[in-house]
Amino acid sequence: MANFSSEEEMSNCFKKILQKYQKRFNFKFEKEVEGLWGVPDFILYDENLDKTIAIELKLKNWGRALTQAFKYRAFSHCSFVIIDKDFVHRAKNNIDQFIHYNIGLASFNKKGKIKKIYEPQFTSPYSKFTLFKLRQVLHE
Amino acid sequence: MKVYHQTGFRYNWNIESFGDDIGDGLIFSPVNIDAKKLEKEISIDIKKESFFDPQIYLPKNPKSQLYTYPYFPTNIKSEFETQDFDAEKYKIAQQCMEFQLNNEFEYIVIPSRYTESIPHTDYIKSISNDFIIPFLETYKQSKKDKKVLVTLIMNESFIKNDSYRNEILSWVTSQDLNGVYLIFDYNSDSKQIKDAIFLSNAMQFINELKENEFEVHIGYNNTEGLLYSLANPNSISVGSYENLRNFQIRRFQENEGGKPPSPRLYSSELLQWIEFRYIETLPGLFPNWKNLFMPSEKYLDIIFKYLNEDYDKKSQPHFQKKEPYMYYFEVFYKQIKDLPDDITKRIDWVCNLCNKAIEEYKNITNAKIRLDDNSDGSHLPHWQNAITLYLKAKGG
Amino acid sequence: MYNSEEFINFDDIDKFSDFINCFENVEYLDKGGQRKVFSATHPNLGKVVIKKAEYNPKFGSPRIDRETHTLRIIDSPYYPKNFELKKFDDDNLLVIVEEFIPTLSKDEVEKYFKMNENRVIQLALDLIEGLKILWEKDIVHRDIKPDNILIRFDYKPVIIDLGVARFLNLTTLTQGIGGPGTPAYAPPEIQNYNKNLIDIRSDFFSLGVLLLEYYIGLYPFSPNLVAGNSCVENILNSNYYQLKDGECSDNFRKFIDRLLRYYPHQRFKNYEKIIEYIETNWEI
Repeated sequence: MANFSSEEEMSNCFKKILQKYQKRFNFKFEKEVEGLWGVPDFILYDENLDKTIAIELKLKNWGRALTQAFKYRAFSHCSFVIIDKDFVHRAKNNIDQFIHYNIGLASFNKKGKIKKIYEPQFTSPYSKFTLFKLRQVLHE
Repeated sequence: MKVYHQTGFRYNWNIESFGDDIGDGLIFSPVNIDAKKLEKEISIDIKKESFFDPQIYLPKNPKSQLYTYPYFPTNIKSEFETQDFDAEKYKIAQQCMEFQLNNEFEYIVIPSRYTESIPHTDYIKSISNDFIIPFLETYKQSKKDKKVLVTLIMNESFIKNDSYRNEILSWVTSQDLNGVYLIFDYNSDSKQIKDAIFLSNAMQFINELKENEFEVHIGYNNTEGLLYSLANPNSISVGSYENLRNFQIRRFQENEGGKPPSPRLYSSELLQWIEFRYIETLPGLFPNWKNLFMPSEKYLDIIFKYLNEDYDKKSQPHFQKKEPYMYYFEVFYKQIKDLPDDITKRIDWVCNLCNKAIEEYKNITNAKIRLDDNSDGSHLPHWQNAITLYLKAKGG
Repeated sequence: MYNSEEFINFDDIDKFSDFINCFENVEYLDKGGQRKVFSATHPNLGKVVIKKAEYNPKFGSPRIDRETHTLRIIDSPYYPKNFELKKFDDDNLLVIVEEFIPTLSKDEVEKYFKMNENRVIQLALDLIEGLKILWEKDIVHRDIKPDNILIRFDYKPVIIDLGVARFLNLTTLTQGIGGPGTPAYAPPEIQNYNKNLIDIRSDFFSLGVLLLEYYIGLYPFSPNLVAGNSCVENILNSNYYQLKDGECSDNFRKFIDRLLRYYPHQRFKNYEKIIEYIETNWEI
């Protein structure tokens, strides 16, 4: 049984965690930024937008999350898939795919605990256009 | 085998492409072009190598430019209802026939009504009574010498229901016609048809029509036109936007709606339309990426300009820019013309294309590029299975 | 074309009993079921065949007149001359008077055609020659079967009962377990009464059944031959006697199989294609 009853619940819970830690770790975030490529659940970024992390939350479907997260590398330096703790084992069984595509993997539970399973390398976003659009959106 | 441009809103792109000797003709779409414009501004030379789709799919719905055509039922009788066909069918046939003959199209096309589900047998009878009989009688009186096609829309349930599919075949081949303008209506969320049974049944359908010496002209096909070619139709189509490469009845209903498409580019090596954003990943990760795209002197440099420059909005791919579609016309037309005439060799050829594409996709995956299911090669195993099923059904 | 009015006028006769009295030496040829067939002589017409059966009143007298008119004016060696087609509306009786043609017996016919490919193929050509007169007028015979094909002494066929059967209240008993009214030579589209699909290709199927039966000497859809519960079921399952290697040429097997395909569009497209196939594969 899923930890979370819906992705919306998962997203709301995750938002609270981000709000809790953003000052301490000095980052900003936006939820569901549109007009890029796909709609990342969250984008975390620093002041100068030198480092951006896109997050895709999913209850179970790690494969679809991985595909989405790869798209977010068009405009972010790093992409993470975060799966409900009770289903992350399925993604863990396919960790080689996350490593192969350089996409991070973590689990998340209702208590707000995020457990990092794989940390990807930061790389340059591959789409100048969507990066430009992201900067436009975040600076507004 | 010919390739006709399936025209839509941007029919000028098709005309321009045809002027560059790409394509063997056009299929004109009255919902997109005013009748007077079609009559006066499109040259007879083009029309003589083209045909006209009357588009009476929804007789009560004169969407967009359809109302400018005198034959459209609501111009014959306002507030036209289906039961009015009985009284008005000859007038409709007369006007529609006249329009096509006056414009000297290559073929005369008899329209038919759209239906979604497998209808009662009366549907066949109604197409005969409301369209085929009045059109043929009108045509005979004209004493002209054109080939006559009937529009046949085959959706997933028709194609997959053996009994109904065969009933349609037996009925249409008994009609005094030269062929069909055949439209496969397949609805799915995916941009490619990933249904081997549908595809193989569709190929069988084409084949059985051909065995009955019917001409088969396929409209609204996407890249699966390559598969259909194995059943040796007389023509397939090449269309720009997705709604011209995948028949959707909502195109003829009000407020087609939907968000604008993400710009894509056709890869002849991958047999797929790849989203431009993915193409941006290629130069950094996939060394021989340009080999995925058939060379084109006229279009590729313009299309890929945005990859080489700092961000410039003007060079960004956009669905309203013609170059990706013009490129597709050119490349797909060439792919079709390169097909061997001999069907056995053609089958091998297409199988090789599929195998090569699958290999290239593996290379892309190895290059750490993860494509979504509308850019990846997940349709190709279905194509391969469709070929196998089709050959098995043919006894090959 | 024989014009019966030159010789006879049955117009004023409105009872069958009076009608039959116009003939002499009236003898039953066949009195099975609801159809009666007589031989008789007429002072002007000579020896004739008289067939009498009830017609189904739902068709209406004018329709029968209209649809049988064509049949009455055919002048071809493949059809007996039709002298009279009369209806006795009070009794819903349909009476046909035709030329009497001496023909081979059933045993002689069987012996002549059995396992002889060339003869069966020649028969096919002859039947097509006769039937095309109807087909070119878009008339479907609908009742091609051995009982309706007589073979003359020169082995040429004569087609009798030109599609009037459908107007009649007849029960045609079939071999096997098929119940009354089951047409043993009718294709699936007639078995299923799918009107949209009945066209001359339906006759091609019946022709195929007939030719195969002549060739093997047995009714090919019989449950006694190919199992199955009934001949109709076998027709609907395309379950018929399969000619084996050595029993016939490959071309003949393919020919029969093509005629017996389930759906009309799978059979030959038209009779010209049948002739073309025959001329390509046999020297007749």
